[in-house]
Amino acid sequence: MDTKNSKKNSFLIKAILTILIAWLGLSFIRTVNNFSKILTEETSWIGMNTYEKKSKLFGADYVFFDSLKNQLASSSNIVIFSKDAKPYLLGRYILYPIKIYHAKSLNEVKSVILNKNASLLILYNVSNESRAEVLRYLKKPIRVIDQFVSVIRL
Amino acid sequence: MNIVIVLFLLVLTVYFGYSIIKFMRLEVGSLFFKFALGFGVGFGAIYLLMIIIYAIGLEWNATLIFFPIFFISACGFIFSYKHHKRINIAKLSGKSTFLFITIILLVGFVLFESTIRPLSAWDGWSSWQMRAKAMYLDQKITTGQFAYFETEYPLAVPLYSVFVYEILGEVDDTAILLVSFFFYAMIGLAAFSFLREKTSTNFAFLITFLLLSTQNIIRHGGRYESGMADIVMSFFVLITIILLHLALEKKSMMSLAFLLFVMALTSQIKNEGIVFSSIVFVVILYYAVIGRIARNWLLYLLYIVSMLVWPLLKEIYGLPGGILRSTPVLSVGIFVDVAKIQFLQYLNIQNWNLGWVYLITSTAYLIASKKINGVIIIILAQLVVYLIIFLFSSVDPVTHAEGITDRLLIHIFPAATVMISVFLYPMIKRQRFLN
Repeated sequence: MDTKNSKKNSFLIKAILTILIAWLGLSFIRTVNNFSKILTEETSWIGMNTYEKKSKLFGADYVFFDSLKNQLASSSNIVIFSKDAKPYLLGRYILYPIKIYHAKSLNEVKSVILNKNASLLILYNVSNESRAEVLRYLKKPIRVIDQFVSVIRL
Repeated sequence: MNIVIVLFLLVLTVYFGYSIIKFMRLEVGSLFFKFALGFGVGFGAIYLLMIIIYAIGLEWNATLIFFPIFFISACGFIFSYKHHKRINIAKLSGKSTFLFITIILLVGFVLFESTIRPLSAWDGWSSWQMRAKAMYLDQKITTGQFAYFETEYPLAVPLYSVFVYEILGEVDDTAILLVSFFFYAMIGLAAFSFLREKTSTNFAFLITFLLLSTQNIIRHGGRYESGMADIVMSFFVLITIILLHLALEKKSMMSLAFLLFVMALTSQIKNEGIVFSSIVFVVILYYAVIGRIARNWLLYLLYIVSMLVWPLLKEIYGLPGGILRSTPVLSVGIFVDVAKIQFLQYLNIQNWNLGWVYLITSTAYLIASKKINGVIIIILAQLVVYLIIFLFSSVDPVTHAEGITDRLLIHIFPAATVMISVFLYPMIKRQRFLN
């Protein structure tokens, strides 16, 4: 029994040492690969200003919310109508202390407008049907930013 | 300029904590370990300072926060200057020198990465740094913030960011990523110092290099995942486990006091920290009963109260995530799916290289050799917890597990790598390539 255990342990020790050596080899290769990133994928970041870097990271979402920042009072409340949570969460981060509330349906839009005294409604990447539904309900002029985003002053 | 100021604040945090350790006459571990521990203690003390200033009705401002930290650090520097030692690079072997230079280059790479881009991690801008920004701009902590952000996590990480923003005088979501980098570097320092004390210098450099070159840790330390709390948890879990090991050796009251303080801090980082520190506490109680660790019921009680503060505040103020108000749904049926996700994560070379393969094989060896101990039980228990939590998940458990298992495993990975390597060392030290 002891011999059997000792054989099993000896096998495990050999396995551990083999794994350790393989891990070391892999780590060196990946470290060299990491260093190479400084000369390849990271060069484009050097020399950019913060606005350019954030635009590159977050794309059109950042450009849009950043443009709203200077147009609204810090006490404003906004409703964003979108199926996706990302623009809502990103807008919340960029615009704070301006408050953003997320609505995923016309009923939620109505509820937020009623309860939060919102001054702006953003239709963010919603379907044409949902957009038409909201416009029928609000009957207000709409400012189209691009094919995905529209803004309505409430 | 902000980057230089934040680096200064981080070094000051190390020295602030180190001074506290010196004043309290804690004698465990090497000088390097005390610096790493000092960063944890300094981080915790700054968190407490921010809470105290707010609780007594004063406003956070740079002078009020900076002065006590600077004063204590300066006193610590003056009183302990003579005791500082230096690592003698000339004494290192060829292998150690090579690994040392590689580690320094690696840390330099992560530092570069952490300063080149602004915060980009989803949970960083939707939760951790979002709350910091709100508390800084509002100059207060309100229940409304928690409701608005729908967050249930404790305050230590965001409040340290508020401390940085107060000194900077603005929100800088690029410079703040240096905090994650510093936790990465301190994980390396804590791991190396402890391994060097318990094994050989070559082996210490080897394991530290393997740990710091793990891609998931690099990502959280300075690339696209930095700015969240997972690397902070990794650091505190590592420090807790090392302190537990040292407290068992020393049996001193002060080592127990610092261990319990660090455990209380771990419970203030993420909710997972409450579970982790509770497991460690059960192990401590066991060791206290059999007389292997110092016994002090008042300290134990203080730890329990500190650990329960956050869950109690959530109940009292009706914050999101209160256990008494939740109606958890148990989905036992998905256990196998979640276990499979965790197992596949162990094999994910992209994230971990061969780290978990090494840990699983080594643990199997230690269990087969009947060398199991309290530390291994804590590590295994925490891994089981990371399966069980998904059974109570409010969102689709499988999607949830797929999304965050790699982040949960990072909490335990550095501590598991360091401790299992220490336990394994006597069995493998005869190998030529390790010496």
